[in-house]
Amino acid sequence: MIAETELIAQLKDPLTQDQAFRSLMSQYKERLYWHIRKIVISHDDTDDVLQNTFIKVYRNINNFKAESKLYSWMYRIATNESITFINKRAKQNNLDLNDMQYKMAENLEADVYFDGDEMQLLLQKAIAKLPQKQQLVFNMKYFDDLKYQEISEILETSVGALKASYHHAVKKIELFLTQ
Amino acid sequence: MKKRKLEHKKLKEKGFKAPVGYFDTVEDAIFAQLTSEKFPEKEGFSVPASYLKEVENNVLKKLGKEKIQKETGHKIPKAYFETIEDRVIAKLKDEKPVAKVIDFRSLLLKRLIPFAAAASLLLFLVLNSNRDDISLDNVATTEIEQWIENDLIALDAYEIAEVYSDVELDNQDYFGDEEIIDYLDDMNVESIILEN
Repeated sequence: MIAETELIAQLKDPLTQDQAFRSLMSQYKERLYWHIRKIVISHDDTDDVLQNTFIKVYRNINNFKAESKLYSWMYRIATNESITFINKRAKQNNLDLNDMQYKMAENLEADVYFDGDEMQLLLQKAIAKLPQKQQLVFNMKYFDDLKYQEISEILETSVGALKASYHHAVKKIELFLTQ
Repeated sequence: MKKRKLEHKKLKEKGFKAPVGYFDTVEDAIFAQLTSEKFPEKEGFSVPASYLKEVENNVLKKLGKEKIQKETGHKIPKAYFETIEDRVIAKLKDEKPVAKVIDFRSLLLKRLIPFAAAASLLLFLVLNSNRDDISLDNVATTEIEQWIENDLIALDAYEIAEVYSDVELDNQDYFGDEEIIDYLDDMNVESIILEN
């Protein structure tokens, strides 16, 4: 694995860009995939958003100023693409965003790419009920085990606010699961 | 006698050893500890000190599970991750070309010339009703184009729409939603709002 500064330089150099881009995708595809999947739920939609994310990274790499880590930047793009996707889906279905996400979580039972048990299904429904920001924080903290500082760089929110978000998210999930 | 023994060079060596590489890592360990103990209170948010450490186990206990199982239950198609790079590269190469800008001026002129020619001929006939050699062929196409360009023939929107009655708007290739959003992202929307 090459150093990040070197990878960025290669990504910006037309001579080495394509090879470096392949290497970038190979390194980050799984992490980004699972992050997106937790937001958009279905595999097919995740595939679309993941590809759009990488395409956006490729097209905008020259605008990347290295003020944050490359991964944080990509994670941010993936988050925005995912949210744009579900917002669009909600509008198409004339549904409120949360209602749309809950509907998507309900459909998991019939999804061939979901083999979770009843409790995991219930957890997905509980998460879908949370406000968008709390969903993101909960998923990144609970499932991805990211540190608050890393989440802060991605969501551009203070660590204190993230901790409070996580606290509220957990409380709401507890309430939902024990109803 | 004792004093001489204590001053012996070998006794002055401590005899203690430090682990290999210890001094390369001790600073990092100290900083990590200091950082983990800090809880910024700038925003006024606070939580009970041990709550965040225990919350996951508390939730899982209520769920009846002691072990942390962080599987979402999502599955993926076989070999999915092995093909994603190729598909993205293919998509990048397959990017749609920029939409061709139709030369509307020449298209408009082509369509409107017969219409304008008829109107101008009628005017001509009215003004020169005693002449026998008038015909549409005598009016050069270039003259009619010039009349239209110089607004000498008044055509309103309905008359133009009639000329294009065979054009179905629903079948036109407009820009897709994504292209519009990308365009708006690049625009300074505030200046457009202020202009209007």
